[in-house]
Amino acid sequence: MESFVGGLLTVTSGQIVMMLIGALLIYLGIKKQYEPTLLIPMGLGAVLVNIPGSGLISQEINGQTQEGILDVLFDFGISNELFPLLIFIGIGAMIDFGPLLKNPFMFLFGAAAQFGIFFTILVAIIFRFNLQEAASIGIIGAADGPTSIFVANQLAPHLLGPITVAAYSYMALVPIIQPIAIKAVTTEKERKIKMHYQAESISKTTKILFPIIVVLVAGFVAPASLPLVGFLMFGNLMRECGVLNRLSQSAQNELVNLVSILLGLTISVKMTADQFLNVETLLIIAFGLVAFVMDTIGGVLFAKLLNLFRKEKINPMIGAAGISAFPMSARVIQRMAHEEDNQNFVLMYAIGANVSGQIASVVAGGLVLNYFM
Amino acid sequence: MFDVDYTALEKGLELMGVGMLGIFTVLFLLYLTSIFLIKSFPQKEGKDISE
Repeated sequence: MESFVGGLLTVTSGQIVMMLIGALLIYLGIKKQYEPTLLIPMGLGAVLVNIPGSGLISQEINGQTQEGILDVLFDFGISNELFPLLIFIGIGAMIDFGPLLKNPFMFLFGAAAQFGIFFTILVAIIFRFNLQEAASIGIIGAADGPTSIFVANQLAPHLLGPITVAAYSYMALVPIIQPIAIKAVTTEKERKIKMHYQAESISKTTKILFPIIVVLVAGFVAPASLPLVGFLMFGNLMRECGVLNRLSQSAQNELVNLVSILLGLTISVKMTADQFLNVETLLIIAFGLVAFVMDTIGGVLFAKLLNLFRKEKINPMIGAAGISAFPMSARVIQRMAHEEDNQNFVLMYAIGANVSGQIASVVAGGLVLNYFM
Repeated sequence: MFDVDYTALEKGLELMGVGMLGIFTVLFLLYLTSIFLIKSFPQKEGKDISE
């Protein structure tokens, strides 16, 4: 009888809290549809790894270590960065750089909106995280889940769980966070600025050459970013070359879906009560919010700075779309512009900045890693 | 109030400088390259690979 209720008798309060957190993640994924592809597997994973004596994680039984399947998957797919990189191939195959190439000026907003990463690194250092940990926490501001996992796993693997939860949760909360931050640093008049859209068609040659050039430029300036940039652009080249449509479709669908299933479940290895329930986790969740807010403010202020020198003014909200959360951020900006003036259409500019943010975030991740090499 | 590690903070500021400069450098180069590509390979004039 004791063997049947043994698990129930040995469960700790921390493990129960973690199971409740797992249930909350599942709820947010299903009910609120906040990044369900990751939050639901992570949520169930958090329940699985916190059941006492769970055979899913490695443990000692009668003095012998028995490997758990989730630990095996972790070593196979996350310790060596494989899963996040495979997802990047799929993301690259999904991205259309057309709106960005039509308005190349939007490149600069992608750069400016990475400010939150570095601001948060400083905040984390002030709160006594060491430099590597602070850098991993700051990367939440890349607003890019796979980049956060990639960097955190190299610099502070013990913080991988809370960093991943924060990164994906705040990405889902972009429609709530960004409007508040934008309104705090813009006037109504600025938000009403209209931008004339000049649609130019982009040739196929340009679209094919672009990913190759991104690889060369990013590779020579920040070689550590090449795993991220290289896989992202490989996916994009498959999409644009026109002769690998079948592979491109597989990367966008089957590859991303399969890896997402394993990624979410595997990350939960780092969500055991002893690793997750501490003050550091609460701080990381708070710093994630700081990162997203400061990304938004950085992008908006940069646009306002440019407006001081430009005859044709930019709607400063476009700057906020320079984060990597695609296409949520661009939609938020268009919705806000439309709320201010129902004849204001900034969507194509916002998408351009948003796509630029996707490149900038992986470059930022690479530059941070480069710094520690 | 905070027992700040000023050496780490100095490193953090350095990382911020290097990082932002690096991002702007890469993205500015890509901006210039994109303009070059768009001008060199317009969709019109039969210069496109798809034609």
